[in-house]
Amino acid sequence: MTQQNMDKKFVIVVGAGKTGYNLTKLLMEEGHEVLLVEKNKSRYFELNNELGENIFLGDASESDVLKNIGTNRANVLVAVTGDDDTNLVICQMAKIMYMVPRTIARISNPKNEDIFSSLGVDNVVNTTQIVNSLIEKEVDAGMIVPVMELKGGKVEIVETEITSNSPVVNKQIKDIKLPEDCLIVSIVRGDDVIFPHGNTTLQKDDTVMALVSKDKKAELRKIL
Amino acid sequence: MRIIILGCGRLGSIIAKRMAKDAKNQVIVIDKDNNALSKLGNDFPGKVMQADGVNMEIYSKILSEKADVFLALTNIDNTNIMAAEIAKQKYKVEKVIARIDDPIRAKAFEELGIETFCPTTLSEKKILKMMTPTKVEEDRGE
Repeated sequence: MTQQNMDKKFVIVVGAGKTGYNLTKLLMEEGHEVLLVEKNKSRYFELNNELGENIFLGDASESDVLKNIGTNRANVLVAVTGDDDTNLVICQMAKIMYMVPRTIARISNPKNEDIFSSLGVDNVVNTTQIVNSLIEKEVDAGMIVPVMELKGGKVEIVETEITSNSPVVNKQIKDIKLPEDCLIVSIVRGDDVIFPHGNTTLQKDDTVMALVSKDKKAELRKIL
Repeated sequence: MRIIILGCGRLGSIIAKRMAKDAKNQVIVIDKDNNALSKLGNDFPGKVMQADGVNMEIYSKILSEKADVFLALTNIDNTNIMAAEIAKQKYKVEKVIARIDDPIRAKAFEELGIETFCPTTLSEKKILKMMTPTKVEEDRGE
């Protein structure tokens, strides 16, 4: 119980578009206290039945609204409206006026990313850039599928399947010359997950998950 | 002086025309609405640009050349704030002034180092002042 209370956060989500709505539901499922703020009346009434107390009608860039919803005790504020300027201003107000420890803004115009970070928004989610880089990766990396980006994209977790004509098939991991910043973290074989050691042998149809720095990805692809 | 004005409504267009009267000033007016820009008339000596004020690209074009003054005068507070912050923080324009209709937001961003003015507060003061003589009359009437 205490553990649960410690992890429970009060999160304010601004903008009840698809992102805001689904994020709210997800956070609620995880047991957080969530308040979704939406300024459009008809959208508010559409979601009000389902979300009840967890949705609030108002314009979060109005300082009165931020005050009334208890922004001062929020742990996180996420601004995911469709307007970059609105997201920026709401995050800044949450930071300056209510000392919210963590603010996250979505931006649509990738060119705005720099300025957001330098203006005190803690995390910037650059939707356009993410989709774009996924497309690029799909085209460029071939077999290696990115699973997760860490450290702002500098390090990635990738997965790839070992085919019968892979140069590493039936080789022990210690005999594979991996690039420097690369670590095989797990192997999925059928229904089993294997935590690999040096003497683990890679087999055909294994799915290999690796932690790799961005610039060593091409090298890893060649090896596998 | 090189003066950039964002927002060509009633206020923006009047200021733009006034500033452009001085031949030493180079005035550039930005608005996303072409109709708004046409308010300036054909004889406007400055430059006009049709563009969205929250799009960084226009600033990389306009502000790469040093500007002396940046005025954010649209009727959308958040647009003005973001534009002013870009001009101030990224392009180090010396004089940046933003119109912010919400008094509390105006105060908050003033603290962040952007010069702001709030039409709501100005009107409030003016109205209160205008009401004072009326009050005297009422007092007399009683």
